[in-house]
Amino acid sequence: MVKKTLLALLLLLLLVLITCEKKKRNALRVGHSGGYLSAALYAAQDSLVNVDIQHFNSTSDIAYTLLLGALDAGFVEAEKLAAFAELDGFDQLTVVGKVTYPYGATLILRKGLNVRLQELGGLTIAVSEPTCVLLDTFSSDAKRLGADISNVKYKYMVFHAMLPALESGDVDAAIIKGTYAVAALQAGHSILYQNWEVQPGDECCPAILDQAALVLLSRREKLEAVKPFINALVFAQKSPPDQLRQSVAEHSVIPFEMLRGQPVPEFSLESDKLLETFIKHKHEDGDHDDHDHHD
Amino acid sequence: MIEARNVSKFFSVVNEDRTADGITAVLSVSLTVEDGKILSLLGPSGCGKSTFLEILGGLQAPTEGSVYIDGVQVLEPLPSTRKEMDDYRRKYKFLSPLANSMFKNRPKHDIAMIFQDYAVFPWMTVLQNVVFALKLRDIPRREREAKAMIYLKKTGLADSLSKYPAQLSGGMRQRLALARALAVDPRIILMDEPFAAVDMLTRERLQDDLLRLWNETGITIILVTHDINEALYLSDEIVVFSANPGSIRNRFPIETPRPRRRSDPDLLVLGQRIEALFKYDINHESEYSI
Amino acid sequence: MAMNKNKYEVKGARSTFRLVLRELGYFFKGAALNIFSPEFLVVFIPLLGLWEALPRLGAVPRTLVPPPSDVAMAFWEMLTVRNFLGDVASSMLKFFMGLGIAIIAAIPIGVLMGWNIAVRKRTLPLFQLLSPIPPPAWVPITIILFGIGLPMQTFLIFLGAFYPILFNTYQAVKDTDPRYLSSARVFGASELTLILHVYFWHAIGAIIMSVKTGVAMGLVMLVIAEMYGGRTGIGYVLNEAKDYFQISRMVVCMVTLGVIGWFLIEVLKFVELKLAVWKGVR
Repeated sequence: MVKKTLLALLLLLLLVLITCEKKKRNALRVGHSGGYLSAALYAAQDSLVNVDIQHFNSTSDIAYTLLLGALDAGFVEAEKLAAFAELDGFDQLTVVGKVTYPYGATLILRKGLNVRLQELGGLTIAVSEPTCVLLDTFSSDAKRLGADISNVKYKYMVFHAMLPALESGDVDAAIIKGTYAVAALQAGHSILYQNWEVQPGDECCPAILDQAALVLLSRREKLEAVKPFINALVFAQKSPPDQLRQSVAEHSVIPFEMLRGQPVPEFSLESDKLLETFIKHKHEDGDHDDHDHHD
Repeated sequence: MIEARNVSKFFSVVNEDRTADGITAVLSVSLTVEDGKILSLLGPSGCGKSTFLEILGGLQAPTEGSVYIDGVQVLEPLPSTRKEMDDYRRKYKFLSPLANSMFKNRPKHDIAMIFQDYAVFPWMTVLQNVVFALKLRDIPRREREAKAMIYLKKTGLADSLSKYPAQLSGGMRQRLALARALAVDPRIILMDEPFAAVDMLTRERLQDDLLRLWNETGITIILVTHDINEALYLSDEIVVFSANPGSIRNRFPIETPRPRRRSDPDLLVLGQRIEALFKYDINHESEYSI
Repeated sequence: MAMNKNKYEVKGARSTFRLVLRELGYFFKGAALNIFSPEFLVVFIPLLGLWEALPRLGAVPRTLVPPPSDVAMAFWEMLTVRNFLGDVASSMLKFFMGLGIAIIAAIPIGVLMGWNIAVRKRTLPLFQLLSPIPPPAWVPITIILFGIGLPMQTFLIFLGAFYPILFNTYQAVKDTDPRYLSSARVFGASELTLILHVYFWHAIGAIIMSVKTGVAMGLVMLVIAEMYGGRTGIGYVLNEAKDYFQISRMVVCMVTLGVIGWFLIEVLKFVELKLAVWKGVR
């Protein structure tokens, strides 16, 4: 008797699970990697119906999942887009939006290190390239503020390697793009210097990329279904900055206070033209995107 | 002189249904063996004679009673009361009473032992096996090899020095065990069915080898066997064990002078008597079990 | 054992060198024969052909499933342009440090645990409680304890290899036939002698076997460890290639890991043949 009841319950549970799964399958599946850049998504999240928002650790995982068709739309890092576009099956995807964030020269100090701008001498700072507008901005600002940075040691590495390098103590500080600032704060490092007035237009901060940080890709066959979702994002983007920050704080583990000093990422509509720009830029640059990790 | 006084050994065995059974392996065995004699412990398998031999060799502690070799106690009996247990634990700490010592090689008594099998180490060559035993007896490094060679020659193994036991025949392996036991110049050798695993012809040759070496050295040998003919051919005295519990049933001194013939009528008559004894025991037992 | 040593000492350095050379020759011959045996090639070459053909014929997308020729080209490019050998060397350094510490720690502890019941009772429950924790679950606390970098990576590899070696060693030592112990004890062997000359040698086969398991687990942990921190190593390149959609590079890393694992197992087989020579002879 008990066994039969249990069996019936189990079957019922299975049935419920299957219907749930089906319901979910009808929903629009959107992938994102979280963080401050997802601000518009977080703000829109509560008003969205029938959208299944999935969190990924890496945007390349979102890309593979999109390719497979297990996601209908997803945010992929802009710097990875040109490489992603070379994979078979990319033609089924299309660019529908982007998230931009100002370049912003930011000097991050390693966790626990407590120095002033004037005391940077002798420290090792990670920078992306010897000639980088971020570094130039920082140098001229430092000079203006009377800091002597002539005996600072520089270590060259790509941006996404800088936080791990700070973490492992390889470098004492790093000059990063604004997009990495929140992640650095979250990791417990501190911002010593920040200047959002950066004139883009060189190797490390190309003007052509339009300061795009994320690109929203959609599967072509789902374009119609994605439209309301995009509209919701655009609408959410219009909220006041502090409200956007508040939604980020609510939906993620980033505290509101941390976001207060940082500009708000901006979601906007975009088309495949952006992709062409990226690909053109990649070809002009040659092997620049070959993320050589040997310093 | 080896002297066993009222030696008993009890085991407890936990059954599958978690009940425990007490098993009496040896029950108050008293025995004295004079120097230079060969004594056989004869009995059906499972009669506790091997256990008794291990107690003689100090490889198991008796539950009751003691064994003395030249007046020195081999192993004190296991504790039975709680106070004894505490003393016992304090005395031995984490080393078992069977251990000689932690770091220093030193035998407790002048004994060597030969087992039916597994006696020699398969990871050492023939020579290494004997040299290892000599090393344990603190023979200086330089003398070890020469001394080992003497006994390896005597046992006919001089040509197989660098072979591993796995490469030897069963008979050769037992000869190696014999050579190793003799090489340390013991006063007593305890043998646990040493020739049981080899064929008939090899066994008889091994028995002759043993007698020859015994003649040369004059050591005391205690031999556990279930082979009546072997016991008759080798021993000065046969001690017949009975099973359940293992205890001495009869003792038969053999006066027949050596060298003996295997077909000696006196021995054959004695053999038949012992055989009849076994048969009676088996029938008796089956009557009980019906 | 002592005998052998003496023999080699007498022979002198020159012939020792020749001996080493000869043994190396045996080793590589044996290892190569395992892979390039006709029986296996009959299976291997068609498989390789299938792998090459399917993407080229368009049966599977080529950028997602690169054929071996693409992989070979990526390998060549990585060797020449990216100093992939540097990554391999960096990974191997971590791996051998981790595995080495695991062997050095696990074998003595295992032998002691198998040797003495008092030691076993005091230590075994601890290891039994800790060992079911999957090694990757140690990653967060390892980062907190060691930060990110070589010590943390070495520790994770150590964790992966430690328990299999420990438990197998302990079990094999514990199961030593008591008659070997008895015959050594009667001759007067001290416990130390028993450990060095009886327990250890009795367990040597199982110990080498367990090191093979340790190698496999160590490689697992190597890849996991290199995903965190550090910017060199096969695991890092593997993950980076995934992030930048360079599938053929990914496959290069995977094949490299496979070849390393295979090679180490061959080395261990050879060591077993040399150390446990008495097991093979008949």
